[in-house]
Amino acid sequence: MTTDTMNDHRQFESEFARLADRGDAISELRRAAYDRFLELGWPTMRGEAYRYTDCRPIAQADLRLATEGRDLPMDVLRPHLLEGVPTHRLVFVNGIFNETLSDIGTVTEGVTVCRLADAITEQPELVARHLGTTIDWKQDAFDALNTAFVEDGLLLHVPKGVHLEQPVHVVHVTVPGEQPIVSHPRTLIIADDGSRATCVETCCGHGDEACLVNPVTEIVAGDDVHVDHYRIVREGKGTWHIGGFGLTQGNESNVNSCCMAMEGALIRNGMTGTLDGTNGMANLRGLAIVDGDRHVDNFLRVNHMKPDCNSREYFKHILTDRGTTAFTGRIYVELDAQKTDAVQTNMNLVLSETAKVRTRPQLEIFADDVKCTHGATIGRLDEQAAFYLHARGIGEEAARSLLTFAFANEVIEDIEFAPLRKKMEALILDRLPHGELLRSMGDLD
Amino acid sequence: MLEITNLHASVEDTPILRGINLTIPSGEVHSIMGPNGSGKSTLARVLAGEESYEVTEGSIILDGKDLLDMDPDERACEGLFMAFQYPVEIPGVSTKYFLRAAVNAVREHRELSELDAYEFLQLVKEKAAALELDTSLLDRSVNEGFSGGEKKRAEIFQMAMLDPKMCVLDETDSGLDIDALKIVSEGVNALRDGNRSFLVITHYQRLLDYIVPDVVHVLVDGRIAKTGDKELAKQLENEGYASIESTVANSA
Repeated sequence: MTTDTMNDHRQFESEFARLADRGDAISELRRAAYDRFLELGWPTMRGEAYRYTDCRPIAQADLRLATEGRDLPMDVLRPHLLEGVPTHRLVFVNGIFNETLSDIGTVTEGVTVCRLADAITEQPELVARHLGTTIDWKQDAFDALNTAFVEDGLLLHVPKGVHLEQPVHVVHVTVPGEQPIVSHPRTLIIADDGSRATCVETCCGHGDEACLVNPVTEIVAGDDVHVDHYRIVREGKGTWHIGGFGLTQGNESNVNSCCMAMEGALIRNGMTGTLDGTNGMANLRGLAIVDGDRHVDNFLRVNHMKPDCNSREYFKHILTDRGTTAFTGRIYVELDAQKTDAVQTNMNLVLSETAKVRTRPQLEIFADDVKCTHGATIGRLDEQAAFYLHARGIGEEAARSLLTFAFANEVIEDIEFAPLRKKMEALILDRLPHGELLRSMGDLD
Repeated sequence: MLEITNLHASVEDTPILRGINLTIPSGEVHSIMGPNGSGKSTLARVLAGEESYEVTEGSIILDGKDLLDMDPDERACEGLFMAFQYPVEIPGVSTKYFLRAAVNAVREHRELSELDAYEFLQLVKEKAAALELDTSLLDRSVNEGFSGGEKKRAEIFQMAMLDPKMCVLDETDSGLDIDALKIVSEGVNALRDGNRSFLVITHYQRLLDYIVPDVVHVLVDGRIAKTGDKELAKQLENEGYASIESTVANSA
């Protein structure tokens, strides 16, 4: 691969110029990130981070920054909403805030739930202090690109000791067209000491043309914080979704993040978690259902910087057809981070002869008193379990679906926020033959 | 209800069952006893239709229908139920969900209406109470982390839920203490209704003190060597299988 077959990665020059003159609180960060993107260029499969994800089609597409939202009827949004729960909802179409579809509602006193664009002008110091601190945009071209083009998205700030009562739901709808577009939505969650919050992100597509969605979410968690974060990816058939996620957490903090990679031509989920206080727990989970010629890449790094922290990486992939998945999980344990307890799991259920799995568990440990385990499995459905189901009257296909559901369900069954768990269950069942047999299960609770 | 004629079956080309003849009329409880390796569990698995057991000769008729023509799920729908010696653990799906799928699959086959959530939960309540089964167990994944007693009780509970015609209990007593054995047996006895038939496979006579059989068969070396009433089981308990085994060896 030579660069002359690709678009020059200066393709966004004029679009960046428009932003660069803005002179707001994060102008310098944007400029630094843009320059860094130019240095890095589009990732290639020669590097470690994108070894299993081919970015050439993205590099070669004549992408234009989306500058216009679209009016969408509520009906398009409805399948993505959480039923029966009030949320603080922000909806973006092609990265542009859509007032009509959004409904932020009344927020718990002291908490800020607003457009990031507003926060940049209204709370410039807060944004500038935290934005870009949890991700390694100097190393990752897509994170750099997002940071160069930060304009809008969500700011969630929960001050000290406050519990946000309702979840925040950010919906990014992408409506692609003939001209391939790119959007760079940003979510910044700042949870001060002793606070609690739940945030759900849905990235969904309305149309099958090629486009790039490049969202980055950052969570800055102080001491004794509990944050639950979920990202549901249901992009259009032609969408490349390259998502970034960064997390830093202080003492005694507990952060959960779960990514469901359901639909889209290509989904890459890059996550970096940094345990920067003692007794923290970072629980990163993911589920991917990959059919057709689709590809999902979960690329994780968890940094244990302080003693007595726990981390869990639990990622499951279900593959059919010619689907491909990659998993890279690196646990880094600093010299100081004694009594680290880290578990990394990647399980792959392969339902066809033509699917392909790549899994790379990696440990990098400098402390000497730690417990780090990793496990990766690649397997088929359990014949003994299938026979057991048959012996109870459940036919071949329904038994396969039930066992596939069981495999997937282990990722989400501990989610306490029931409406979301049910939503996720339904999303899984939608993808299984005879899902309707199981769909009515939810009403047994 | 169940007619087994000259049944021969092999596992990986090794013959295990060598000509079993057995008829269980409606409403009767038959027991099959026998030493280890005599083919007891093979018979249960052949009845349930496990693929790795190959039937090389003979027939099995369930209520007038050829069982060997049916897939395992069809057999269950037609009213055969096997309580497993080692119930399989299925993490990720709750017992309740699994059972509802099973109950409705069976009901669909029998041309009965699907149970809605309320009807299903009523049925669960009723059957669980009869078995003194803690219903919180049903919210846990299928058999996952169940104790030995809980697993066996859950099997009998499933049996009650699926309303079979012909129940096969494969060493249901193994791994049970006396209290669990009593509860399980009471559960089984509660299902004896004069129509439903049972085949109780066991190594020990103990279970038959609680589930009293009409007929006892002794399986040796893949054939039924002796048939009698419940006294035969007691005799075996006292004398062991050796006397019958030697009779078989002499006649062979």
